[in-house]
Amino acid sequence: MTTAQGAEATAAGSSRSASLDEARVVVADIAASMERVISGKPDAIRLALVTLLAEGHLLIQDVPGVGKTLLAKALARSIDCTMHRIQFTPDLLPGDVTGVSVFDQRTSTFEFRPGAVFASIVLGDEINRASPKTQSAMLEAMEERQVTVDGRTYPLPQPFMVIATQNPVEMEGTYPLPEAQRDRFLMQVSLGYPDRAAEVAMLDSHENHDPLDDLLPVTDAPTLRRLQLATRSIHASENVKRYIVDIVSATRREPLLRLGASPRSSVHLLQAAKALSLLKGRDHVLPDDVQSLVPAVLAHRVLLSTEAHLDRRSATAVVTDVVARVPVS
Amino acid sequence: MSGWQLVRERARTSDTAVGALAVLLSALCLIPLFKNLTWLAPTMIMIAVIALIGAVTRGLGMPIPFVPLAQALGLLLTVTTMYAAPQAWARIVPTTPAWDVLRGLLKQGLQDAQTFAAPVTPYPGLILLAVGGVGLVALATDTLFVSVRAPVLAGLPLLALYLSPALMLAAGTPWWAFPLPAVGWLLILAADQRDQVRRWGGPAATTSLSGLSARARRTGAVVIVAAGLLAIMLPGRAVPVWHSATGVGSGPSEAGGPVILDPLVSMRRDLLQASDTEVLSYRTTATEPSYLRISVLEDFDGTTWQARTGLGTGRDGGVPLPGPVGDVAASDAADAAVFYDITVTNLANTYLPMPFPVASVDDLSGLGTDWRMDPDTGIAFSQQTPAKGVSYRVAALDAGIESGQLRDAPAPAGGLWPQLSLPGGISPEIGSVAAQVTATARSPYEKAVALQRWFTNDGGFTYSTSVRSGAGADYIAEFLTDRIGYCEQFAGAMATMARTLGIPSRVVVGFTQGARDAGDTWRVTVRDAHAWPELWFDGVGWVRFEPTPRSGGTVLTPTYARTSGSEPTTSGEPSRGVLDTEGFDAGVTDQPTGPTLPVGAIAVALAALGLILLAIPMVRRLTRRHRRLHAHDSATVAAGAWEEIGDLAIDLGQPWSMASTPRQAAERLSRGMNEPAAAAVRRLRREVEQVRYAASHGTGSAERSGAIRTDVRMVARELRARVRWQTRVAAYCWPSSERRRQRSSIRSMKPGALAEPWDDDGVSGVAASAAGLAPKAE
Repeated sequence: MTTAQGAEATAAGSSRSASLDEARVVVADIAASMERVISGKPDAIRLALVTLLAEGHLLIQDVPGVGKTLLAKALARSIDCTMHRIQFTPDLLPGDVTGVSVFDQRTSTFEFRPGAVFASIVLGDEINRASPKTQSAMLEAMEERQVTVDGRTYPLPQPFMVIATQNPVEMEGTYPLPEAQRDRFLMQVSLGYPDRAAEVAMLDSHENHDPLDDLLPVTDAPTLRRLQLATRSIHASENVKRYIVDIVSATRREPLLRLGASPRSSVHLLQAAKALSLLKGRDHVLPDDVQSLVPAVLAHRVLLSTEAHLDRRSATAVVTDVVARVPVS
Repeated sequence: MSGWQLVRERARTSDTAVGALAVLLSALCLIPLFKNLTWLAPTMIMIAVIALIGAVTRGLGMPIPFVPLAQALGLLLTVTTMYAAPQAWARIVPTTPAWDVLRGLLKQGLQDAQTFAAPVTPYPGLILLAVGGVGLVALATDTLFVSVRAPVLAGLPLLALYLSPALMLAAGTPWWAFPLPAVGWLLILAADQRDQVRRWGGPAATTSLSGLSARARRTGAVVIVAAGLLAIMLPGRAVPVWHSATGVGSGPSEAGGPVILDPLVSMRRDLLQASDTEVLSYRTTATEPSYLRISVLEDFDGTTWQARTGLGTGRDGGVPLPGPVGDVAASDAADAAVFYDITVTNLANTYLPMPFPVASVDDLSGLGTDWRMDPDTGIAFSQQTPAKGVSYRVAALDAGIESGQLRDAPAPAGGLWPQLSLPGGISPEIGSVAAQVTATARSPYEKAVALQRWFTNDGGFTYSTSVRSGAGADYIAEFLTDRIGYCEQFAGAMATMARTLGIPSRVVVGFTQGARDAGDTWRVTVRDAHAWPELWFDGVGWVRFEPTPRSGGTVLTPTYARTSGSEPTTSGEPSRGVLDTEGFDAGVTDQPTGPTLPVGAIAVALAALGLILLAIPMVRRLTRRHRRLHAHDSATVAAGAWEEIGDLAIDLGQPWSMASTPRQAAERLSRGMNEPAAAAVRRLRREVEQVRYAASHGTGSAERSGAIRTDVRMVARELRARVRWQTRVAAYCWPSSERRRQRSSIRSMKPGALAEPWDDDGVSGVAASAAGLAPKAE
């Protein structure tokens, strides 16, 4: 190896490690910022950040009042970017989400009025209370990252992330998301009730004012976009890819599952694993990254069989069992 | 979940059926041993019973260790109801009388197996042996395959079934005998493999399929090794055959007569090799007692001398003993009778040693009623009773044959003598040699004496038991060329040559008169077993000749056949007991130094084969280790080192799961290790992560490979130190990682905790603060 090559390699290595360091610092800042508002939920915060870096969308499913909206707000507030909130109701129309063309009598032209989806972070609150038609308008925008109205296409801002919350489907007045649409979310997380100490701390912090008001942005959209691109360049070896495919296809053979995970979930799992690697400041994916993300990434996409329902097995438990049987390559 | 339960979950009824089918296929190997197929139906029932019990008990959830016990019980009850139903309680539960019946049958079966040459008539005792033996094989196969899940080992009982005809049939097994158990075994392997593929299809099916091909390769290798060894071991066959008194070999197809054969060779040979073992003793007043005859072989088919068809097999011919036998007794010279008080001390055959010619037999003490005598040949035989322990008194005639009497005997009239018949295939050379040797002789007697002298003196024959007993019709011609052999060949050759000269002849097997013990007591040992020709002279009868040139033994040329130069030469002859165990020269059993393969050698070879089979995993393991750790580039070494650690952990029974990531595995493995070893585990883990998952793993150097090897050794030492020495030995000799590799690697995986998402050595800051929290997606 010549000196020149060596220098080059060193430079490349240092630039890579620089971006890795930057990613770690930025993500840690965001996490720290969010933790000031949401106590006792560091893992949910990190999964949200992984979703952000992986350019995915996050579905938070939990009972009302555990901080779903707060999590989305805290994330948006920590980043210096636009954030819209859509409260889904049964009478919400698709146009309210995507935007409408309005006839301007002064200029005698149609003018596009962007809908609520035009923001870097969109909080779709109680998405399962909207009518299926509106839901699908939202989900199309999520997938395409653009909105087409009257034949014209309007790109959505970058970065773009939807954080949707939904109440458990058993609750009244809900239209459960079809599995095809749940598949579009990179992850589904639950917050769960805070533990005693965290709940007491929460009461303290909410006693005098809204802690969200204290949050200041710790990073901006261009930085975040750069990190998203850096995530894509994380190395995933053939072994890791095989492992991912093995896991996903094992869910398809699992007798306890009526429907296994889709090929799209393989893609999502890889993206998420890369984001987790970046978040940890590593330039390559380990099977550990994949394994740890499987419940969050796959559980909401599979359908349990009748036996599993009868056994009261959760999708997370079944998927976890599947992973525990797949050899690591 | 206990290991047994795991196994039981895998125990499928279809596997039980496959195992039973394999046993049935292997049992078909026994067909050549029997004359008909009456044994097959009970055997099939037995196989079905064992399989049924296995399937039902496993299906009912009986603990696996008890299943073979239940099957053994089933075997016993089945045998009882088949053979001792009248004595059994409720026709199935063995009671004391039923036991006795079974034991008697078993004893009889063993004696029959010892006595008769294959193919044998399937007497009840023999069927019991077959049914019981196959039942045990079915039990063993079922246990090994379905219960213990060791399909490879399940081949061993099948091999045992194959070996029984292979060892008992002198001419070897028919060509289809080996493929039968082989196919059975392959069925078992295939069922096992199919089971694994079914249990773990899909992407892991690639693993299973590679396992399948590995299984196929290994199977092929084992089959080739086994076939090769068997080919070496059982080439010219040859298990000692007593009835081939000519030494011309014996094909099982021809062996139909009541021959004295010992298929269960080992026992008898042990007896016989202790060559001073006394067979019988007798008291007589004769100065030169008669040779004691056991069997007369009159039919010569070009290959084998056999007893006349029908004699002793029909078991209804002959004169019942005791009583006067033979015409001679009635006619003349009753006063010339010489008495022999014979006590058989150690002879398991169903023939009584008899002097010749016999006038009467009486005073049979302790005999059953089934003893008979064939007056034509002077052979006394029983249906089933062995001669051992029998005492009897024989009046034999001192025929007082003189050479003058014989010299005048005319050539027998006519060619209708069965004892003159010669098969078509024999070499014409035999006839021409006989004619040449007897060119100057005028009468049949002179010809006979000339032949005898040629064998003992003039022909330059050498006595040796260390020649191959030979096979094929040309054997006599070969013997006449090589001029080396033992009594079987001498007797057979002289009898054959006599027939070419028109003298009726036959071969007799028995004992010489033995050695005088004290006074008129004579003692016959196994060394005195012998074969000799008898020639017919009109007006005189059957006359014994002695063509075997032996010195020092008890071989005695009859007075009437002695000529001036006909005393045996002593030059160059091995003296008794030195080299050739010549006392037992009759070819009665095999020759220890001869070409026939001793059972000991077969046992050793089988043991070696077993050891080779058992050593396969170890050898593969060692090869694999070397290949892993001594690859050229350090990347391969790093990857191999990790696999090696894993296999080592599996061998030693340490926690290791294929579904663990290197980190999880390293964490679990290094728990409780001393710090240097734990650090070595971490280094190895980093290396394998670099190789497997990083974008580039750096260029390897020899030092790096060396360091990896050092780490592997350190970890291995630490791992071995954790376990008892027995485990270490077992891990070395019988590595479970190899067995596991052959089966599914899936089975032993236990679901464990998933990786913790925030647990990373690259984590710092807030991420580290969250360490230990797993995602809760619900």
